[in-house]
Amino acid sequence: MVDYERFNDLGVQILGVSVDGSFSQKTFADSLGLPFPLLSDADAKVSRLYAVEKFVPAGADLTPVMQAGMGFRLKKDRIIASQAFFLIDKQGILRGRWLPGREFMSSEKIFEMAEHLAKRL
Amino acid sequence: MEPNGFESSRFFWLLLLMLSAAFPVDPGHATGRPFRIGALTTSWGPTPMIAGLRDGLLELGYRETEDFEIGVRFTRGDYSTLPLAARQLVQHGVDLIFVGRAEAARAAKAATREIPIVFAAVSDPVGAGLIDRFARPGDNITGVSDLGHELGGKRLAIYRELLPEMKRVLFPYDATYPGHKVELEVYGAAARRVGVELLERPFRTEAEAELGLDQIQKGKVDGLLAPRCCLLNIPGLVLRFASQKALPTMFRQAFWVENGGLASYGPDYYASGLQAARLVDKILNGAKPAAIPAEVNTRIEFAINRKVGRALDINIPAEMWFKADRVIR
Repeated sequence: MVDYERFNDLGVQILGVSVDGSFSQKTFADSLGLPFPLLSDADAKVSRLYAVEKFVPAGADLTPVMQAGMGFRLKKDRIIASQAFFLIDKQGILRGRWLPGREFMSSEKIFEMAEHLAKRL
Repeated sequence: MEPNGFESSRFFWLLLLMLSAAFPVDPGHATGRPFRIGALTTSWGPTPMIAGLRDGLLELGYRETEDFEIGVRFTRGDYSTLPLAARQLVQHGVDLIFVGRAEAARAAKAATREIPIVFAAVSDPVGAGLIDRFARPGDNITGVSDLGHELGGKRLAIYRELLPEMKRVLFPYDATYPGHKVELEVYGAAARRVGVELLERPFRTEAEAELGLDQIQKGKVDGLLAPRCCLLNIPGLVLRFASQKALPTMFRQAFWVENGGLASYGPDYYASGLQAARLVDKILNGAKPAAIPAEVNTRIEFAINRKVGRALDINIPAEMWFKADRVIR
């Protein structure tokens, strides 16, 4: 939440996007007390547009992805979104893209880029 | 902090965060509102019980996202936020609340007297005041019970069978939680029967538990016995520090054994979820919880992690491998 305040003070709106339905996202947001909105990309359209869609076959265990789940195995093939960060300016131009993969990525690099871009205005 | 709405007039930058899906969906699923199940848990996300519920509904022919959807409201080991969490589920317009423990069931009952509630891991639902009797639960709640505390003595006995040389077992627990104190009594009585010394270690906060378990010395204890999940994150801490200190562990659920624990003996909570799906099916077809008899899941699972056993360099008696329902390699 400390990171959120810094981005907020800089005028950055954080949006979370996933292929989950909105109900699932609401309970997730409540559980973590998320201060930013979550948007549902249920048909994976946005995930494809940003080239972060990921095919996960039936039987795969999502536990490592979720980090908190317990042996939640998929029953059918699925398209999910890989974890990624995008920084977009108010003109809608993509200014930064980070694909941390399975490692947790510090938001410091993103903040530095956002701060740098903010100073240029 | 409450979530902000998207205010384009205030913010000029967008940072788009893509999250991996907790419950991924098929693109192009049918429109229309599916039956909404709010799963309330003190864990850190979906549990085997919730996975069992989902799989049970799929086996009954229901389609996920089209016929039903599950939203998991977890409280990360914090029981005090269960009432708020239950009220939030009601506010989100759920059609059913699925719970795993008596505390969560009580929070759900306090939040609603109309929305059906189904439990799947309450050891004594009558004693807990949740239902009137198994045959006709009454009110808006029914579910699947398990053998719970009755298995504690057997669990410790199996632990001793796995490690015949074991003399001192450490039982860390939440001193403020009555359920853990009941476990302590059960294990205390069992310890005398099986010939081990039970060392109790109460904690009041997660930080205290982390510090205390980090100070355990191999040689002072022969093994750790984890309490029921998830208060103060003690089972998680037991797993972490026991791995670091090369100490054997015994849990209630196979989940911990899959993730590095030595062994577990307890109710098969995934099976509890599967069984609960049949009760949810009845509710989906118009039955009222008050008239749906509560059931008991008698399925017990004994799991051993062979790899962990090798790493600990312990000589597990041959017959234990045959007794195990699951050997994780």
